Order: sequence, then C-alpha cells, then structure tokens
Amino acid sequence: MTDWKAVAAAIAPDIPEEQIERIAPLLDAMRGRLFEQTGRIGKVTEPCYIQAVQEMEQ
Amino acid sequence: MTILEAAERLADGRASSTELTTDSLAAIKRRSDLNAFLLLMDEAAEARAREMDRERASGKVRGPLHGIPVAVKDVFCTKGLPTTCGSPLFADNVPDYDAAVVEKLDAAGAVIVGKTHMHELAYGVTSNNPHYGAVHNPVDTTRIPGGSSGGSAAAVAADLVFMAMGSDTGGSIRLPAAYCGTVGIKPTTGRVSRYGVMPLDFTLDHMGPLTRSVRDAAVVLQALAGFDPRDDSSSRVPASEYDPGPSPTIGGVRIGLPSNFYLERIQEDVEFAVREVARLAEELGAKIVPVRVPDIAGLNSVSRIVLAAEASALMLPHLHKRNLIGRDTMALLDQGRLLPATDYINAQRVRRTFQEEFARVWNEVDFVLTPTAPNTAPAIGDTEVDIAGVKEDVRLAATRFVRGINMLGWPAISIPCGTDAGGLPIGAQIIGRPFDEAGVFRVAAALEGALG
Repeated sequence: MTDWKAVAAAIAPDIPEEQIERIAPLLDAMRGRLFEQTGRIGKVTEPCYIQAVQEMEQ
Repeated sequence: MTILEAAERLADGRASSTELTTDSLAAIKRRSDLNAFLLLMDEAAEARAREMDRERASGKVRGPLHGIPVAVKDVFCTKGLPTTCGSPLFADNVPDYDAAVVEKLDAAGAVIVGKTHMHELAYGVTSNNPHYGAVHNPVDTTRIPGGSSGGSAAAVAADLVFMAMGSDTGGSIRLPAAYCGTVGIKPTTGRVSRYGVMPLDFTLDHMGPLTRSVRDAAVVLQALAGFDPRDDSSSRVPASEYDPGPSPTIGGVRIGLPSNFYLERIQEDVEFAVREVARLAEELGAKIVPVRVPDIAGLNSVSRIVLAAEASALMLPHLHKRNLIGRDTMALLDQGRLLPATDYINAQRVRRTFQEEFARVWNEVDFVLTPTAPNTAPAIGDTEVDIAGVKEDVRLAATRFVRGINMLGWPAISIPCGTDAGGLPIGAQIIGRPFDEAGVFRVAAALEGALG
C-alpha cells in the first residue's frame, strides 16, 4: 500500500490528514483496478504521439 | 409540447415567442421548489422573444428553434452574465464572451431564459449542491434528478423550457434524462464545440441537449454541430441530416443487446422495460443480436483515473480555497492530486486499447441497446442504494452503464422507456458508431414512437 500521507506531504496546497485517511482506501482501490487493466496495453500508438502529430499538422 | 409542435404553433400564428417565453418564465417561478435554475434572465429573454416575433412578422424565420424558450446549464459562458459552474469559487465569474453553444442557439433564434442548476463543478451525479441546495426531480420531489445536469433535466421534465443544454463527462446528460424521463444525447467526441464551456475534464467532456422528444434533440444538435476552429478538439467531420422525420423505419437494423454486464445487478423493472424495448425493436423489423461487450467495469475504472487526474489538474489554481468546495467534491479533487502521473498515462494507454477492443462490436451490430442506469432515481441524501440485494455507492451505481462510453467517445442517447412500480422513469440507452448521431436518432425515434 502507498503511504499517502508521505505523498501528500510533498505537495501543496496541503491536504488535511483526516482527508487523507478518508480517501486512502479509495485511492488504493482505484489504483488496484487500474493495475488489473495495464496488462492490456499492447502495441498502441501512445496518445501523446498522436497529439504531437496533430499539432504539427495544424 | 415539443419544440417541433411549438414551432408549428409559432408558424401558423397560434402562439408567439413572447407568449411562450412569458409562460416559461412564469412556470419556472411557479416551480421554484424544484430549484432547477441558478439564474433567470427575465428581461433579456422577454426582449429577445419580442425581437424574434418581429423577425418572424417580417418574414425571417431562422429554423425550428426560432422563438423557442430554452435554458443552458451554468457551465456555458454567457457574455455579461455570471457563469458559476455551481460553485462559489466562480460566484464572481462574469465572462466577456459567449460559449460556442450559446452563440449557435442565438443564431438559431432560440430564447435563452436562464441558466440551470447543477452538481457542484459538474463533478457528481446527485445535483445535491452543498452551496445552492438540491435540485428536485419533478416526478417525485423527494428524489434526485440525477446529475450533473440535474437542473436541465428537471426543467425539461417539468415543462419549464422546451430544451436545456447539459454537459456529460461520465453520464451527466444521459443519467438525469433517464431519472427525470426526458431525452438526452451525448454526441460523439468533437461533434459539439467545447469553446466557452467551463471544463471538468479534457478527455471526457461532451455537450448535448435534453429535450422532450428525440426529434427535438435532433433539431437542436443540427443547430450545434460543426467544426469550430476555437476548439482544438472540434471535429472536421461534416454534420449530417439528423432529424429522423415523423415516421422513421428501422427494418433490418442490427441492434446489439449485451448478454453480459448491462443486464446484471439491475432493478427488475429496469430489466423488464429494456427487454420490452428490444421486443418492440424486433416488431419494427430490427434484428436483436445478443452481444458480449468487453470489460465495461474495467473501462469504468480507468475512466475514473482519467477524470480524477484531469479534473484536479484543471482545478489546481483553486484548491487552496477548501472552504468554498463541498466535502464530497473536495475528496474527489484530493484523490486526483495524489494519483501518480504514471497512473494517468497508463490509464490513457489502456483507453486506446479499450477503444480497439470495443470497436469490434461494430462488426456484429449497428447499435447497442442498454439500460441507461441500473436503477431509478434514489432519494435525495442517499449515499448508498440497494440494487438486487447488493449495496452500492449511489455514484458508482448511477454511472455504471454510462461512464465508459465517454472514454470511447461514441454517441449515446437516453430515451424514456417506462416507469418502475413507484412511477419513477426508466431510461434506455442507444449507443452508435462514431459520428452516427443520425442513426442513433433514427433508432431512438422509431422506438419512442413504438413506446407511445
């Protein structure tokens, strides 16, 4: 599990400790579900490359 | 009365825009209990209605929206008028320009009578706004109207205006349409300009109308669709003819009815209503094809990562004003700030993979039919719902069938398809291929006609 209090300590503006306690389980669950999906990533053109080409075309 | 019926009355002189607008403003005030509006534009609307009547008398008619009273959600910038996004953070925000949508409604002759109430910052589905009060569902005022475009749905369902614009990041047009018993369409990504809309998100935001009929939604989208050079995400794909006409046919059309996910863990009467829609579609000559859809739950999870990260990035300049942000919204915004950048990037990469997987559905069918929501409108203040014996967070339940479609970018409409045992509306969602809004309207209008 991520130490969300440590992560929060590094960013501003502050996030109150009680808020971190409230949202930590949600964040862990959200990330867990994402990790289940990352195995799907195959040979896809990455979104930032697509955007870079579109910007050149304009 | 629908927009097209009102347009007929205006055309043959049985009504004037001034009368319709006066009636609309009076109805809004009479139903102030719904709390559907954040701003009324009485004098401006009445003056505009008189102008539209004068134009008509001189022989100039701009189209079916000419002289029709409408409203826009308070995310659309309006020149010289407050645009708050339902938040005190923006209480003093008075833009010096109109959103593209407002410009286009204006060019089409519509009369904007006010700006509708919404979930705080468009970041939620209840429209129970901690700063400006809850919006009430006109069908049962103890219930939520859904959100975030709750005021727009309530205003249309209660006959306060003929159309109200909404925005949809994870179902915020379709869900309130379903809960209030109106039509609501989320068009394809890039179809309607986002210029001048206060954003919640970059990837997922879409703009569209809520109306009392499918044809009304089509004529409004006709007025709004098209390329806008001021919006980098605007599409150059030309708009087609959207109005399906009075008697659309769907013979031979292949409509997918998912055999997984969409009919699982839902209210019994919602399942019954959607299966009845499928039966009617078959009666009209469509072919109902059972389809297995890829992992929608996975798509929804990834969508929440994208939304959390993008919404927090957008709102970062305001996040030190915690006292001006409601508890639930603040929790979402704090979550987005703590997510690592790697998660956001991987979520976007997974989105691309999902798009490829889901696009294969179009090899089998032309449209997909699903419930819009697994349930009918929960009570105001409820945080959990019990659906088929399982307790679930209201927000997760309500968006289960709509959220992922924003990640795919496809057009999707919600139409009313009956009521539950308590009389609360049920919505059916029809999803189409990218930029096939015309097809979506055709199927939806045919079904609307069959549903009666």
